[in-house]
Amino acid sequence: MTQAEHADITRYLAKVRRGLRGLPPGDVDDTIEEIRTHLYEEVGERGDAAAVLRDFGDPVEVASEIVERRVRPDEGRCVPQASLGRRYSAWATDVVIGLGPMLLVPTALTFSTLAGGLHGADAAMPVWIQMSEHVAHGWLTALGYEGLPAPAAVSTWQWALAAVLVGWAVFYWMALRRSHSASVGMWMTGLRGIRVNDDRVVVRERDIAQSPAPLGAGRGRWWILVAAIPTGCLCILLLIYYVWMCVEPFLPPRILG
Amino acid sequence: MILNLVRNEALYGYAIVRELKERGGLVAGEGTVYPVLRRLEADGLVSSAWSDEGPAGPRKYYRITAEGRAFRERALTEWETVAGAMDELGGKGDR
Repeated sequence: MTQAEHADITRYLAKVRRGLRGLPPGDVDDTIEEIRTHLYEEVGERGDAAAVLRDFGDPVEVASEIVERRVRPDEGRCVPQASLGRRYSAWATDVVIGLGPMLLVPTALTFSTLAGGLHGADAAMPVWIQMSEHVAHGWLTALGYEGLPAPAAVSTWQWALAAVLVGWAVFYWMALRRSHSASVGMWMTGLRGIRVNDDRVVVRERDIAQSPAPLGAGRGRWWILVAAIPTGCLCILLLIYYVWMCVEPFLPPRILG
Repeated sequence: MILNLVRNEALYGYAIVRELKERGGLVAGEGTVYPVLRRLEADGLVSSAWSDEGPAGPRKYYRITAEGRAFRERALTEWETVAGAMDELGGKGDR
């Protein structure tokens, strides 16, 4: 077999693997290994890799058919999508994990400083509000407003904290959650993102046929929702509060006192 | 048809494809056999085991299970009933 033919088969298998995202990883490895053996054996007999790959079928369609047949209903019936409530729960859980620290950590620090008087009155204000007051002060000064009260200084540790929290949110939403077939939220709510006929479909993990069924696949994870829903509501309320408090300093009467 | 092939001996994917081709049972691409095998395995109708004997890498051998045999028997009985009914209808049509 030539190097080019070897590369063709590798590319073909990579396409099949991409299409199998969402199925259990061990299963995907098994399927790819099996197809690899088939292709190499057939090329060894027939000697024409291009013809073998053509006869095997389009890699995207092969992967799509494998995925479709693994989702429980018999032929002819639609793939059972997860309910809207369950999908929303997965998304809310991701919001809590991704954005929760940005909202909850400064609030918790504020409450702890207020309760213990640890860092003085200035530090009691959440870091986002302090930063927005700085930006607003610069903006209004540039517009010609005079006699504005100087905002409280943002200390180095607050800058560092803000950078870490923003960094986590960006990392979670752009790297960890994106391009993955199962985010933490989806995993926690027992969902999987699969690709069937070029459409991304979110299904319940237990609707994917597996033998033997993995431990806990059919078990409800209601306790996650019990924690995620109130925390999610708190996050939304804090988000509204912070957005308002960060916009408010830009209104001249507030900054002029 | 796949259950029929693996009822007496364990076969690996490529061997199943070859058998199907020889018997004219492969109407679409060769890749369509693997989705069926994966589903049969997930439903417990066939069991599988890896073996290192292949010239191009490990082979996965499939063998029918007791559940698979029962399913095959049921499918054959259903098929014979339908085929019998069709024959009868055909016979009446001829008369």
